[in-house]
Amino acid sequence: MWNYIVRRILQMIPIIIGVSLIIFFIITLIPGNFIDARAQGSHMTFEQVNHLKELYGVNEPIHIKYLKWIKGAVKFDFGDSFTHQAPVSKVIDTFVWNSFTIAAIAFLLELLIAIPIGIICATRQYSKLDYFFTIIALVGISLPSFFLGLILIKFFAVDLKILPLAGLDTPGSNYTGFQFLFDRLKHVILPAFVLAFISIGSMMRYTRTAVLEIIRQDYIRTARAKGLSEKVVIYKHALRNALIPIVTLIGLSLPALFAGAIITESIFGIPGIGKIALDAVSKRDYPLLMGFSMFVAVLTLAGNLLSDILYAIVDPRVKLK
Amino acid sequence: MKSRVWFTAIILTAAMALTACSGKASDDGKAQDVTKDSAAGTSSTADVNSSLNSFDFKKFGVSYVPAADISKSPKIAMDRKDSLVVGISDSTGIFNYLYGDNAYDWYALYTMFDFNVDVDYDGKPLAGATDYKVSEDGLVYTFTLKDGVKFWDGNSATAKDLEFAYYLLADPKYDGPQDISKAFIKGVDAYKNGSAESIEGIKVLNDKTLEITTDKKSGAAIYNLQIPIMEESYYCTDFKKGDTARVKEKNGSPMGTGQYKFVEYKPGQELKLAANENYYKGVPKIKNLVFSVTPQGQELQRVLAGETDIDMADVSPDNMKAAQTAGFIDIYRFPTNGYGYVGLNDDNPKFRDVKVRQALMYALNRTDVVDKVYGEYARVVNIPESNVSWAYDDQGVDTYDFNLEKAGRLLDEAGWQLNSDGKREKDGKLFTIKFSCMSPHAVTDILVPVMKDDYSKLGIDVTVENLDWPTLYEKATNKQLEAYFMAAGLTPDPDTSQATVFKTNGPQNYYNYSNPEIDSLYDQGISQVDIESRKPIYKKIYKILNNDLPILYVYQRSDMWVSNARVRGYEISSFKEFFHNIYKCEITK
Repeated sequence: MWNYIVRRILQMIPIIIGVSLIIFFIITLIPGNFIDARAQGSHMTFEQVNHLKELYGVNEPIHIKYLKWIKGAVKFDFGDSFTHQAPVSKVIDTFVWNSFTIAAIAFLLELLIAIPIGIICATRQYSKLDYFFTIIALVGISLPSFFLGLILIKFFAVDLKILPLAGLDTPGSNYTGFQFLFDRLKHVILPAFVLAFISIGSMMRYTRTAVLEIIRQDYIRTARAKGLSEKVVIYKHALRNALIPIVTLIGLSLPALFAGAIITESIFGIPGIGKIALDAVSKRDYPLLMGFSMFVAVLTLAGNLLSDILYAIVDPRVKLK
Repeated sequence: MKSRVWFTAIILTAAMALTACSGKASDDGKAQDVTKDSAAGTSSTADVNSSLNSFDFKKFGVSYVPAADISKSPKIAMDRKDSLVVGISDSTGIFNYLYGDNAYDWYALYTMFDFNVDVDYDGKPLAGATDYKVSEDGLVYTFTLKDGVKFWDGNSATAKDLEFAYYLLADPKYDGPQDISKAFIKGVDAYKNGSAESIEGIKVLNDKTLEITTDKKSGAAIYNLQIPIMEESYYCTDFKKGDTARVKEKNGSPMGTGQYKFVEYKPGQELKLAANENYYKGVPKIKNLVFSVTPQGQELQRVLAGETDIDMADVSPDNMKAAQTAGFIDIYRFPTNGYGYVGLNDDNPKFRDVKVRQALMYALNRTDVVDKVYGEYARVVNIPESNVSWAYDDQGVDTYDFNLEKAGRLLDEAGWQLNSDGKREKDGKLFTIKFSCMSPHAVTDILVPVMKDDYSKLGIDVTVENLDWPTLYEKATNKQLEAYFMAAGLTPDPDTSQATVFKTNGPQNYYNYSNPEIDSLYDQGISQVDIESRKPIYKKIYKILNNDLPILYVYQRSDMWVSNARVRGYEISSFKEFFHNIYKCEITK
């Protein structure tokens, strides 16, 4: 197994180089640049704009720019973000944890809601309950997050006034301990719910399909024939096997936990990495944009590896060589 | 009604979320407009006898509509007995005026730092933390620090601190947005681009006095000499040429002399400040000042919910109504310092003839467009200047009222005749316009269809190209576009933002406009230091620009601050944000 892991990690190197090339060229070839984006609205003089372009090397040929960038990148130095005037890794570290908190809560909610419902739907296939949850799942999958988010804000924050409109803490508050946690919870519950709701559908359908497939197997019939109660059959014999593909999905969710949710964060005013990345696009903050894209690319590869390893651990039929 | 506001919020936020250039689309909107008639708004304003509102809003074109019933304010806001929460759209955490260029960080910086020179409510320069004198020949500026200007750490500000800021700006490694070269200080060039170890024109006369000698008499120099008072011994003891990295390390932990002291910054979320007990103009009346980042489109909602006390909301009849209906909202509305325009490439054979540009102006139904987008909260402009500025004078200018017939006649005169298909043609070439703009955008979404429709009646076909903001900007600056929509910001001095735009080959003259008379008038305007003698020169300039139409001026809209009426005492105008005098604000309820 260790051999397998080392081999997979080595295989990642050419992939990462390829990804870096694509990311770099796509991002640098977008028209516009940071200095011009910054100049507008701040009454920078023409001379100062040129001075800054020279300082930042805006007009250098593209291959020189790439070599400069990759030289730093191999040492995990992605340069300084233009807008934040701080190292890219520090900017990501500052904002990624806000995103992670919300994504983690959403992910837990998703698992806790989707898996039980998926099992119920499978055991009562084609019942009214199954159709009901299927409809809810499809609504969740097809509803845009900004729409759901705004509806919830309208209902809970504007009309009922029981939850705040935006942010992570009450402005100007100095809460500590339990009060702080409670306040924070009030702020993250809506965005976390939105993120969970839009992904519950697919997770639930996966679970349903997996369970359906398993309960048609011979060994389940055997278990029933032995006279085991339905509960034991489903939750002990069927579920454990049905969860194997779900484990893979969990591994693949790794990048989503850290990548931030651009739209949801923007709507709820959460200082997360998704919102920061979106700003970086409109401000043409290349170092931040490239650093962030690389970060997500590496996480995606790591997520794939993780799900392969998890698969081998939970499913004895799979051997990693 | 409520549902309409809500609907607007959805649209705004949806647009923001979908365009992926949120900041720009609406910043850009913000960077531009004014009011049909500010005075009209003010007339509905009841006289508030409170001493807190002694500020003469009307004089500076501000429409102030006080709240009807403060008691409707939400509990969460009323419970905040010693804090003022300001909503801002964005924060980058760079709390150094010489390095930051985020307008919202500047708001906070105005409360944390004092400046040697301030700008008054009508845009004129004003003594700040120093008294300043200009010599008779207009070349020597003497700044004397006022008594009691002290940093938060208790040290008194000295002339060395002023000197430090100028040296930082002139440093070859300085990479902030300011350009000190426009102040024409003697010896800056030799320091920045040469080997000089000091700047000839900057002299510390004594502990409190700094003397600056300039090369050139310039009316705008006093604005360009504006610097924040930063403590040298805190930022960088013995600042030497090239030491900028050491100064930048302190960008996140400022040290100023201002009204409020830095306490804590939560990145992208909140900035907390506390009153400076030793502030030289008087102790701020509100103990804590908090800046809270608010998602775009929710500015008004958060003030209504009581989460924030004041924020700048998008000006629209819907928002205006929602704010008034709530009862506890004070509304401050004033002309935005800028204007929206249709840019043209004047060198393009189609647009080279002034008559063609005038025809296009007559055929553009600006009144209709502006009314549809902003209702009464914007006005059509005919010269590129804010009606609040001291340089504004539109007496005798052409108003180019919508007139297709006149437009057609002008095109005929310019040689663009209607052909048998009803299209304009000259020397075998059809008159078509390729128009570039951002979409979705509040203004162009309405302007473009109206323009297309009316121009086609003239026999001109308009094709439209949608671009994102940085792309549009790059193409416009490289003069690759035929016609486009954009907005321009204005500065307190009419020369700073305009001479570079309208002078022949001016660095920001993206329109290839050239008129020797304008060039010489701008040179005359800047070489005068006295404002009264500058006024007639700018009047002439605007008269010519009104006739020449290098670009088609469209509108100036309003900015609108919505405030929970529990806090009063804001002093505000187009040229000066209330943050400069926030120490005067107090919580009344």
